[in-house]
Amino acid sequence: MAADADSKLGGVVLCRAGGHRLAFPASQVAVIEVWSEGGRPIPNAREAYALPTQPGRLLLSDTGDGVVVDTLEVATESADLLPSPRVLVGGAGGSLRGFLSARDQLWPVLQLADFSLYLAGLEPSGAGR
Amino acid sequence: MSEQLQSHLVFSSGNSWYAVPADRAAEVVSFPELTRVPGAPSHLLGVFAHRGEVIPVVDLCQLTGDKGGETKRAVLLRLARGALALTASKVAGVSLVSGKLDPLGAGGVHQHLRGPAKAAANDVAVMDPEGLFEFLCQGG
Repeated sequence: MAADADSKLGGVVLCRAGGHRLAFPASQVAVIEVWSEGGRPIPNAREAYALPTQPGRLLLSDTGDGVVVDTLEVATESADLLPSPRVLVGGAGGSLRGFLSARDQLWPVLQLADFSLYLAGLEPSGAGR
Repeated sequence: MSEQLQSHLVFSSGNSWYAVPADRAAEVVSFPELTRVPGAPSHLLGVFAHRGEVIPVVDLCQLTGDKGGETKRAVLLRLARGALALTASKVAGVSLVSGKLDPLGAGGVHQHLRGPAKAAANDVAVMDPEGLFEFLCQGG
């Protein structure tokens, strides 16, 4: 099991990209904006699932690292962070922190800046940049 | 050299039969809709929550290059370093395995599958679950 098994999340941004679920700790999200094709060059979460990009919402960290997702909602209630199975430790370029059970579903919780860097390394000339 | 092995759970995934030590096979589960993990290899189908634990599901067909249809069943392995679910098309039950324990390949996943062996009237690949787990931890 991962080391941060007993971590608490104070709030999360629950996102969807091409039907897939992913979440970011709310404390890491400084700005949420609308994003459209031709907008500022930010990695799109769809690229992690080998899907074409489409307009969506942009999440930016306070360091300026960002990720575009299809849709999002902010969940303010605190929740337990479930540890990653060992076979997934280091997944998504080391950005995977664990999992969250919310809305009767399981969500991978990712470090926003690290996930942005991971996506940027997938395909430097990818669509939507 | 022919060997008589301990009790194994015998199951198929796609066209191939596998045997895993019965004391490592915790249960056979029907898994719900899986959560895909971004960037995970294709043989790692996703994860599901099971009794408060996040369980990864590995598609043995994709891992071994075998052909197989979709299934919602899996054999849940409990190992010292974690849990793992392996897709299962059919489950033949617990049986003694006889045969050889030579690795079925020099590298990749096949070095953690051994044989040729027989169990429950099937040709089976005898799985080294700890070796397979370590292989998957290193990215498969």
